[in-house]
Amino acid sequence: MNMSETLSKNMKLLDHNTLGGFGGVGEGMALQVTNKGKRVLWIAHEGPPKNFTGLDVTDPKNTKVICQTDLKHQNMRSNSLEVTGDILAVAYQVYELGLEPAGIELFDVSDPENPKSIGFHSTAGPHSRGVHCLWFVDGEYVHIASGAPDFTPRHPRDDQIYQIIDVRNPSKMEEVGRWWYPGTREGDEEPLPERIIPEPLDELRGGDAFRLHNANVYPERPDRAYLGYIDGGAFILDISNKSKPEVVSHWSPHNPYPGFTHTVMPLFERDLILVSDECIKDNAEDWPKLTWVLDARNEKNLVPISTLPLPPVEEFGHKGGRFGSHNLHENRPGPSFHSEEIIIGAFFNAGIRVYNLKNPYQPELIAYFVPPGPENSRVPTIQMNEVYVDENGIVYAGDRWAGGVYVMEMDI
Amino acid sequence: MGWRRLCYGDGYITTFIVYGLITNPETVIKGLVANSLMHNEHLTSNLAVVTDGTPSFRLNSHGWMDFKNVGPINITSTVTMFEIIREKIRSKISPFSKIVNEFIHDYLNYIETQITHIPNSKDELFEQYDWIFSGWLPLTHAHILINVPNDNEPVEFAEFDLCYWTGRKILCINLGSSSSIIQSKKRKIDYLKKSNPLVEIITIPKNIILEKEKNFPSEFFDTDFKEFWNGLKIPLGPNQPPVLSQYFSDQSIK
Repeated sequence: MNMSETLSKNMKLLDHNTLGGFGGVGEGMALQVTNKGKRVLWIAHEGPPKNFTGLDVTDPKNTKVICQTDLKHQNMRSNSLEVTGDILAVAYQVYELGLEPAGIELFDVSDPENPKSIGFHSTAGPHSRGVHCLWFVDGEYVHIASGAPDFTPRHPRDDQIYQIIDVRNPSKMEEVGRWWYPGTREGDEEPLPERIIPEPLDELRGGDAFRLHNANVYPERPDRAYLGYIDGGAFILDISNKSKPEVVSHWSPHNPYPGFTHTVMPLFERDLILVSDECIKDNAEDWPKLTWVLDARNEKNLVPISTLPLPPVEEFGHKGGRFGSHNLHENRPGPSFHSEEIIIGAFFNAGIRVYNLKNPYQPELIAYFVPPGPENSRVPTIQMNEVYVDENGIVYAGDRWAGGVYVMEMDI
Repeated sequence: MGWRRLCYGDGYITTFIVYGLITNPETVIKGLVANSLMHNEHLTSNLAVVTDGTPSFRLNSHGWMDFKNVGPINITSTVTMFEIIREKIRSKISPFSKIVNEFIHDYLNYIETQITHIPNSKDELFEQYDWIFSGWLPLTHAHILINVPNDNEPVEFAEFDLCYWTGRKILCINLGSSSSIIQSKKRKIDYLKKSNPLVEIITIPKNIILEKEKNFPSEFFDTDFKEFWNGLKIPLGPNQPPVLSQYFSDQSIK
């Protein structure tokens, strides 16, 4: 890998850490600042054998792995994690229905080099693959996309539903609420939602699915959950009564657009919502995977007004790997960059891209960083999978297969 | 940093403020340059030009509100006229700026309350409510030019949620958004603060503006701002030519 081949504008690489050779980064990065001032970036992995990695980023120009844990077996992954205070929540997802452990594990990371398990909540079951993504920012509730022991989907790819887990007592976590797309559960009165390609039925991953990907709940609106429901589109739920979430509104560009709604991120001071659709196929087979900007002044009537401009498909679409939208920096509370004008996202082989949303009708690309494909990757290009930006504007980005973490500074 | 002070004529700093619903403030400035600057015109519907000595900008100032577009309405009262002004100001706020909307809503209510503190005049020509048009004019989404426009460099602005020109100071208001400020924005504001003695920056925390049971945060402003009628001889209605405004003002606010 020759870093001089990096394409960049207004972004500078400070450090690159391949995480001891386990550089496949999943969809979870969260920053902890310990009471001794140490700054630890916790990183989820795309797949086995590693569970999670703690990277000391106190000096962002000289990052060091200080903790790396192993999964219980090779038929599982921990794709997602979050930190609140000194509590780390990790999502466990299995590759075959019914396997264990599937669910959430909580760790006390007050001593970051020695994480201590303090609780486990199982969502394993005959139709469950466990937890794909989780959200944990208030220290009280974890919002998960997961199967459940008692949930039987009508279509096998509709297995992840929204569940709210009360974790105030880590040794006795309990589900306090759930919601699923009407018609997707065996026994629902509503019809199964129509999909473009229902087959094959034995493929659980991938698109043509009505299951939850991300659920975001912010302290500014603790009574609202923002859900990316893959081919079901974006939902706003009223969760003022957690035991009975209710739909406030729904917006979906699919079809004709190619599905996989991933993140639904509100910008509260501006009455805007960003919705990203994850690219899930190599070589632009599912192009265009867009990030939409919605006018949310009337939250019951969401109106698309623009998309974040992507680079030309003829330039990036056939370089290898995926090309298009994925995770966004989510303005989470904590030691985190917060902006309602500057939007930062991971766009697989188009790298990390930074947009100015001052004029929401015409988002403008103001910075990007596209390093060359890392060594030992399955594909020839970088596959930026996840991004986290700290309160100082330092950008941490993870490659999906091998590149590990790239630490960058924005000059914007 | 290659920014240069904007000095014209006898060396006074001239401050150009692009404001209102503008998607690209540069086009306003370039248009201005193409038209050889504004002569004797301090205020238009999207641009304000301030030098030391420029009369203050008030709701009754000429230029900011296009009366041609008010429409064939029958304005029968001062209250109706103020409602039209209220709507004109709101039309200069981005629909995606909840915090500026809230602030302006509270500000216009505030000046309505403030005029009740003005002693009643014995003159029967006008009544207390007529003073409402003497309130300071808010220039929303203010972009203050910080460099000399030329063909080789991009035009640069320091940005604020709004500003006021009181005849003495340019009050630049930041409505403490929770957004992390980006470095380039901060650098421009710092430069403006250092280079323009007319500028005073006021930052008001977001939570104060968005509180449900709240009033206009007057504690952030001085008496000159709060008692905007001081120095004025009589109240004037909207759209006053500068010469008339000056005649009826002793500018004693200086």
